[in-house]
Amino acid sequence: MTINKTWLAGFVGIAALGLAAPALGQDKPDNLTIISHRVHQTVSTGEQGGDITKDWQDANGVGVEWVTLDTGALHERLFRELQLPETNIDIAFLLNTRAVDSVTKLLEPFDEHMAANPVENIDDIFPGLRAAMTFDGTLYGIPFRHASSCFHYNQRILDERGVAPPKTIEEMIEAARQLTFTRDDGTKVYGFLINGEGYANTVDLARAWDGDFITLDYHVATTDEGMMKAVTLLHDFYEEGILPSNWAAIKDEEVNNWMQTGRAAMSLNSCGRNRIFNDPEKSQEAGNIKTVAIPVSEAFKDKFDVAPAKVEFWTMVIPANAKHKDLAWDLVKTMVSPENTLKAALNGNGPVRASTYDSAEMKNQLPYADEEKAVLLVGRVPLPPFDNAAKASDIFVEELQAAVLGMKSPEDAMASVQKRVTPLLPQ
Amino acid sequence: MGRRFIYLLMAAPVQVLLLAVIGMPAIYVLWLSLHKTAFGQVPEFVGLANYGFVLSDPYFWRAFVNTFVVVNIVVYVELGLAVLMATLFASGMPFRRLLISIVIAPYAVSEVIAVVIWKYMLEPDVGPVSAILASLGLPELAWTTDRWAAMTMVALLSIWLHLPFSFLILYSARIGLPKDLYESAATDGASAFDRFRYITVPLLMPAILVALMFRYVFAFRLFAEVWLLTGGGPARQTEVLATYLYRHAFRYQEFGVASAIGWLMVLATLLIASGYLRAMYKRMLTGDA
Repeated sequence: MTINKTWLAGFVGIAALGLAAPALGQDKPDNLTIISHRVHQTVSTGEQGGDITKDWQDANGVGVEWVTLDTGALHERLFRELQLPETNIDIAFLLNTRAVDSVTKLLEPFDEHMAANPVENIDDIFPGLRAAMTFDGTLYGIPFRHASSCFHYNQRILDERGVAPPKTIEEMIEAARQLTFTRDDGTKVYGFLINGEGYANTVDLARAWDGDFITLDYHVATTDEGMMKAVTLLHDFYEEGILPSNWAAIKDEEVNNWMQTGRAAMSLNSCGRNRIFNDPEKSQEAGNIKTVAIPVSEAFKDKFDVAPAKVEFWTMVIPANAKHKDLAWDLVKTMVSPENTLKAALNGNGPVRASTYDSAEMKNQLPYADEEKAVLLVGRVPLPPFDNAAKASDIFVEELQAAVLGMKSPEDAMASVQKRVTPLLPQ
Repeated sequence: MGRRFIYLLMAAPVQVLLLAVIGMPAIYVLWLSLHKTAFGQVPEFVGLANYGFVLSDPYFWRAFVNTFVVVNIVVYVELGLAVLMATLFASGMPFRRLLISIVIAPYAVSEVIAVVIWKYMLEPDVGPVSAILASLGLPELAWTTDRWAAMTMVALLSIWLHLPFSFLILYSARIGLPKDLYESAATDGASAFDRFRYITVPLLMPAILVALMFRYVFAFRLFAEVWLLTGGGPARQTEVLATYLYRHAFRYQEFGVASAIGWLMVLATLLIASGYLRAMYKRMLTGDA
């Protein structure tokens, strides 16, 4: 009888262990899977700053497996995974423009994780980036990497034409006129060049007058003073030949190429382009391209030191259907600690913490570190996230091209944007 | 009956394969076209609303007109050139092998690289073609600002890329034509043009129809040339059906609308191809040449 009871107790114990085993296994997987763009893996595991996940892996006995895809494929895969009953993806990188309402519903909210196991000094992470990932007061993503817009100019061409670096947008406009000329060998130099197929750099220009395409509270601001000034200016530049005749087909790659070959004197683009513009292996103008914050209008000098330019960024999110959410959160928290943010920055990342820009190592590595920090302190996303953001941006580009090329007046084009985009916004 | 069953059984694997790789996806896309759906959304049945939206969208009709015009220019110019070149090459011109290699070389070039090359050649300031036009006192081809100049460039690029396909079909058909017909015609005093008019063209017609139909179907899906060259701009003036579909599917994630566009493209292609299919059937299967 006693033997039977012992056997019974033993059997129940083994059965209980058997039932508990999968749960224990869930608590401690062999690996956590991160789905990201290749660049995120590179800046997280680079040589200069080292692997920012290594100490965490050693401490927890859990490996990190990176699955890297191009931007479009990455989001497509992530959105498909989010719809499954369960996913093997533990952490995903999400571009801010893709963080729309319908997607955030499928993500793990971070407020409870923050209360139980907070990110160190989260207020150090630029507030504009955190705000863009907060929906109905709940945080859904932790910013990891940003791309902010700066003003790039070719010092050699400025010197050649006797033009001083512009300090206000009004000075930049005048400089663009003086920097447009034809060399003796027949090569034309354009004073100013931005991408003609996108909307973001036009928003950058409008921000010099504190203008916007769509404000963070979902107001279409294309007929407001800031955007009207920017679009009218681009139209005037096109008419005057300051922008090239093929501007509407100019992509970012061409902007890079024209700056690298001295065919364009000034541009608005991501601050990080400074490296490409000054790369001796790729650029004929290496060492000549200076990068500063986009100058603000004289009329807004009291409000901003620099224009509140475009800031786009990647965040780390956890799928709501992930299996190891607490562990994934712990890794997210570790990856954005002040120490690891600096290490990733040394590996080439755009750091999301203000304190990172104050480090001596950072200042040595990035000649424009102070300028970029100034942008980040006032910058904001080019448009707020919403389901129809891609459609709205296409409408803007269509009307912008029509205005700049003279198919419509800037007033009519921007009024048309307002009329067509307003119904697409969240009501 | 028993033998007929065995024949059907032997053909069954091919039928199943066709059903699996062509029929099932087509049916799924048809089902999608009747629903409203995007990532993270449960498909909602909307009947023919997606078709209604597309057919009432002026951008669809602009894309349709652009596609129709470009496809017709591309297909007929390409076939005309291919027939002439096939005739010329078959007549025994010097350096024939070298010249054939040159003619078919564009087929080995990827569309992306071809667009980059052409874009550079017609770049307003430094492009060699622009420089030649300027030296001749001609205006630059304003393909970045003018709708029809852009469509002309798209057509030129597409012809350059796909001419080898039509040429290879027609050249192989042309060298297969019996020589004695040409010798008899020459003996009877037929001129070179008469021989081309009364022998080459009628005998090449089945191959011309095959090339025509294939090129129509392929050209209707014209995408990379437009997307990479103009992106559909300026101001969506140069959009074609495939870029219009791509925009709705992969930028707006409107999979129902995109599926409806896909099916409308299939129907339009079938409508256009049906005339040629009928002619082919008459000529090739009933021997009514």
